[in-house]
Amino acid sequence: MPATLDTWQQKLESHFLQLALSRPVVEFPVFALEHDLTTDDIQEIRDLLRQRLRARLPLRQHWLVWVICAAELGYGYDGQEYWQSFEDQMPLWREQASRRSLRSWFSQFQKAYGGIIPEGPWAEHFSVIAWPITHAILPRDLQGQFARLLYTLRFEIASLPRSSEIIGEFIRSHSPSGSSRFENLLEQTGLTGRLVLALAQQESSQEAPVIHPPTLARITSDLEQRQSSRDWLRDARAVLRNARIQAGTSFGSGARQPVSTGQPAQHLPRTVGLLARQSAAGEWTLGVAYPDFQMILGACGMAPEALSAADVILADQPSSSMPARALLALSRRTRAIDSLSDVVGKPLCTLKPALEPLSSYLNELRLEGSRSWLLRVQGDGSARQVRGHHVRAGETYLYLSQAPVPDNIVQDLGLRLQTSRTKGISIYHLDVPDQLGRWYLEALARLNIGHALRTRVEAFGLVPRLADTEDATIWLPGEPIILRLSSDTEVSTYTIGVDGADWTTIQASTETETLVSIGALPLGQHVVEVRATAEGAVSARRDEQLQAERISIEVRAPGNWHEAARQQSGFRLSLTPPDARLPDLVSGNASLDIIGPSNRIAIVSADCYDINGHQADHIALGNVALPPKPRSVHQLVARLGIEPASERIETAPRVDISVQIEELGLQSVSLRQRVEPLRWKMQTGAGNAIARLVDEAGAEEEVIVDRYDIRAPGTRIPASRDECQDGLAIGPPGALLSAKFKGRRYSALISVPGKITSLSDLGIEIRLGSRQDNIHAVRALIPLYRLWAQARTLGPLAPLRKSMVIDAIDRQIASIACGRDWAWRLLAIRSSSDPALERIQREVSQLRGFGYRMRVTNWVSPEGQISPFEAFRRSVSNYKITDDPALVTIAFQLAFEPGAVRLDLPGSRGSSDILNRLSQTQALMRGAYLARTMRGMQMRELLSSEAA
Amino acid sequence: MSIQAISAHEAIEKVAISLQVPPATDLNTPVVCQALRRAVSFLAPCPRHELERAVLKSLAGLDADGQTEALIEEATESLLVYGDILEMRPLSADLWREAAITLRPAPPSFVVRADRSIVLVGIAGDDITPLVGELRTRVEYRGPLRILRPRSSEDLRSLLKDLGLIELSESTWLRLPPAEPAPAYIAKWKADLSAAPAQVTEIDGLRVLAPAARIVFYRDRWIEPDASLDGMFVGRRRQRYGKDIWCLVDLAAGRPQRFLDLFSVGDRLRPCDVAWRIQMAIDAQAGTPQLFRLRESEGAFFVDFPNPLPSWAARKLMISGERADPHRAISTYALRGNDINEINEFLRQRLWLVPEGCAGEGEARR
Repeated sequence: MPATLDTWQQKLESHFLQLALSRPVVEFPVFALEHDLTTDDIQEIRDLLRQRLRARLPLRQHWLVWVICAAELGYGYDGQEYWQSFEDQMPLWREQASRRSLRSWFSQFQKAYGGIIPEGPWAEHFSVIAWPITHAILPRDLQGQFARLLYTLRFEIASLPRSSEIIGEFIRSHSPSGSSRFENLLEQTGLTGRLVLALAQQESSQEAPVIHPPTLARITSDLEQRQSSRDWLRDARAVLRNARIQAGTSFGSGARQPVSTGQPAQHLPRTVGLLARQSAAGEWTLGVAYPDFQMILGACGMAPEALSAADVILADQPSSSMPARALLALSRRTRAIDSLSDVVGKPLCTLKPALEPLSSYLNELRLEGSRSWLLRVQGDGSARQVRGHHVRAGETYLYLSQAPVPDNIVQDLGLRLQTSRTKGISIYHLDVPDQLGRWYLEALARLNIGHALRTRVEAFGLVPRLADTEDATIWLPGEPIILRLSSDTEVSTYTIGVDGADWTTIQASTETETLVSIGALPLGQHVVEVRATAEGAVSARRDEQLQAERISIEVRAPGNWHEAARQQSGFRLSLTPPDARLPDLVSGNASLDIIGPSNRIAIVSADCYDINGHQADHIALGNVALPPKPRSVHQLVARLGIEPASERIETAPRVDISVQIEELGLQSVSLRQRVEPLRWKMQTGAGNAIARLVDEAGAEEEVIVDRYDIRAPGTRIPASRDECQDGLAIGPPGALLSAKFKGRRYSALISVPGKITSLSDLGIEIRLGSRQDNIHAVRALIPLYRLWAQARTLGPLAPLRKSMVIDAIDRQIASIACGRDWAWRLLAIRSSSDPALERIQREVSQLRGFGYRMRVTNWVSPEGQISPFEAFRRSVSNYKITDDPALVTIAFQLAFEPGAVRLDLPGSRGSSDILNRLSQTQALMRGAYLARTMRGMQMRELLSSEAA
Repeated sequence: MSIQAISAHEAIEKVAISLQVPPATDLNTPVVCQALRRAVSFLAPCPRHELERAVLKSLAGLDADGQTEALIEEATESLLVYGDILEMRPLSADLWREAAITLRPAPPSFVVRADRSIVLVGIAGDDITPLVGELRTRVEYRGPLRILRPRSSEDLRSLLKDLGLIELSESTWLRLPPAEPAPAYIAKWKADLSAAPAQVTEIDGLRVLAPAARIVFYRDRWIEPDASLDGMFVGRRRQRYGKDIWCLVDLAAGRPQRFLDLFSVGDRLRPCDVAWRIQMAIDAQAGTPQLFRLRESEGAFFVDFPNPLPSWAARKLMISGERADPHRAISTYALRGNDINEINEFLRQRLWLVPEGCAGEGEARR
């Protein structure tokens, strides 16, 4: 006999009760997806629920069944429209229940079984949808991204304590920029942490499961559908499992807990070392080895984005600054310096303005040493600073001194003066002989250089990544650390220890060198100490122990190879300023710079990504020859502001601008756009369009929807929210739809062109209605301007129609503020050589000089490097047009940016008062509008001359 | 922790495993190539001699007979030829600009060959080869090449793209210069050379390629200029550190009048590739074109080249076939019979080469 909904409800209640009892609730909450139902069960349940909806029977008694259905839909959610899909699957649902009902049922689930509570900013913003999505654990659509991230961070996660919160927080803070939905998932740090623990322990039967095993098996199976995801997951799990086996019940020692105190930690480096590189011609250049600024920011409790607020000045380039984010590019890298004297004794870099606590730390970060430096020439040909000023027999060094070395020492030590490209320093080449006589040691001592019989420890097999000092190397997990040991005298044994433990004694090879495998070391900093016992007394104490050799080894996780490929690439792509938004780039307020070999062709394109991070669109923008001519890259990028590209990018939460240069590869800058919980979608039909309101805010009655037709843009027509959610038919030429929720507007201009057979069909008669033509009408026109200016554009010709409406409103404001006849004549001017300008200028003010000044001022780059507003303010003051600063501001804004005008300025007596005063100073308004017109023409002339 | 003394062979074995190349207890081309890829991923941008010296030093002690050094040089050359490593002039944005030519790892990419097999190119930072899981175990290490072969009905291209690799079209990977007649090619270089400033001093360590008519073997063609030499010659001039610089020199009675260091526009081609092609054009114009030898052995077709081939030509041959052990030549390639005519035409049009036996009597140059 087929089960009824009552039976399913009871069965599920029983299942979740058992599950809740088996789980320590606080640490491991229950998810609705852990229902233990088969695909057939779920289908059967859906059918039963639909029957019940059709019969219009109460729904509440099967609340748990509804919760399971909602979570199942969340599991398959593709990020597009949760509620629309829900209602498609459950017709008539909205008539008998609401989103709030569903939220209350999830809340009931949480209380009854210790269910998970959605957390994070996204969950607050999307307060209803957050429940079914969170209870879906890892929706199918995000599984690939999660597997990839888990793979990328596998070694770091393996070194963390086995705490879901710590793991989740680590993943969140180390995630590269992905899709909005994926970031939302990562905000649920408890959830992702538990998921990692579950995936790591899946094959172990010794621990209580974190996620119901059949549910986890289902997620894993879905995840492995795609080969890349399967491979990422398997490799990641192998590392996690291995770490768990080695560390017992915890992944790692917990040494890598992400901790930020808000104060620079004491262990942060306070000094940096010098490095020297030699050119093919034999000249040396010095460089500074910068520390890991990413790590330093973390220790200061600051995010990398904080650097956007400052510039940095490097000690050797005191007269120039660059965006402080450039510090991230310098992290753990060496950079050539022009002059050593500019660097010695000074902070290596200074932030302007200061960003505390980072600035305090940077103020102490200096070059180690002050008068002389000893650098050892290493295997890669570079020389790195020796801390301790001791030399070894048979090695080659550079001795750096701010003062020339006396001739007698030069002769005694056989020093050879080198050519230095870096100013302010003398560089000597020092070849230390295999046997050191007393006279030699004395000569060394005069340079404060010591010597001791030592063991020589070098890496064998793989080239070591050298850190900023000569005795520190960096390795990856899985790279065998093999050391080649030799010494300055004959030895019988070597005793090797790692981190002060595991001391092992090895017979020295009868040949000259002994190879020793250290084995795999866990992530983190380690010290390998090698003690050699000589065959005979060698020390001042007359014993047989050579001075112990200590080398630093850092084992770090592999870096993201995409980032490595970008950094090492044969060309550079950068966005200036780094935090620019897409509209800035399109408008030319931000720039995309390509630095690469000349005479190459760069192919520029844009890729739009949907809310899930999937590529939704590819837009070829064109080619540019390197080096790019001024504005040539901008001319390509500006195409994104023109249809049809403009519409395609406007609805994309992420747009990547990519540049590919043949075999040199591809680089991208990623630009993010906010995705609103309320948004408009457009579907086209025959001759009309359907506009639909996508509402994921969980809002019900609070949403107010209005419609404004393009032909009558000032006339508000209230619309039904339900009707808009179902789909509202829009006829030609289109309309603006606005949903207002919690004081914010979410608006879109839907353009429906109709049949276009000639250019004249593009024209639309726009009527702003029977508005007053006195100055007080401006009060209503400003928010109307804002409404249309801020609306997103959907559909063919939408940007064109938007600008037509905005122009109409602007013209109306200008007519009111300046007088209709004057304003219309001004707005008809197209060229600065138009003879009509003479009369317009004369009619600005009775003080003729003011109109002339407005006409001849360079508004693109005003004299004295001041802003256009400041140039306007000074002219108004000079010609005594008004002494009211509020009026000057409003007049300028009204002309240049009407949407920015706020009539409730501090100190004013209300908008009526301001408008009255504005109407009495028409010269001020006309001056501002003439300035704007002239600026537009000057800008066009500048662009055409640049293009020429 | 397991600290233990090991032999050099055991050390190589551990290194090979960590580099994910086939197990080996002695150094071989795949191990050295992978060690070079790994090293350049963090040393770059760096001059070639720095990379080679660093790898050689890490293997010091195995080089009693100097073979390791030769192996490293040859492996570096192969990686440059096949595009794993790029040879470029420094960028203005580089933190260091100490060398005229620096090496950079190419971005992880792949090229689909005629037989659907895929050549992996480039270096993925710490990962070296950006493959995971089972796919990583399927990589065939054929000398300096990494090859993946798709299984039936497997969409390997999509999978590699999914992992973030860039697909290089054949033309992008090959970087072929345009086909043109040898005289036209020489004329362009002559014009460039005549525009170079007059040379008033001797060029340190200058050696030039002697006319083909005088000397048979490529290696023996390198001579110090003598009074009998007049005209434009491909040469190499010494620099204090690093490899000699390829140049073009105008000699009058063996004395340099002008010289030009050889670079290609946009660093598309390596200086040696440019130099070798100019020499091929000079030889062709002099009526002594360079030769190649076509032969069939046990059902397979081989092409032997007694002179060095530009990298782009080597890549073109790799698209159609495989590199084979050199047979009385500097390089030898095994080709499919179907491709012989196309390759023949390619060598004639782009490098003005002539198959042995077709160049006229008595011109058995190697």
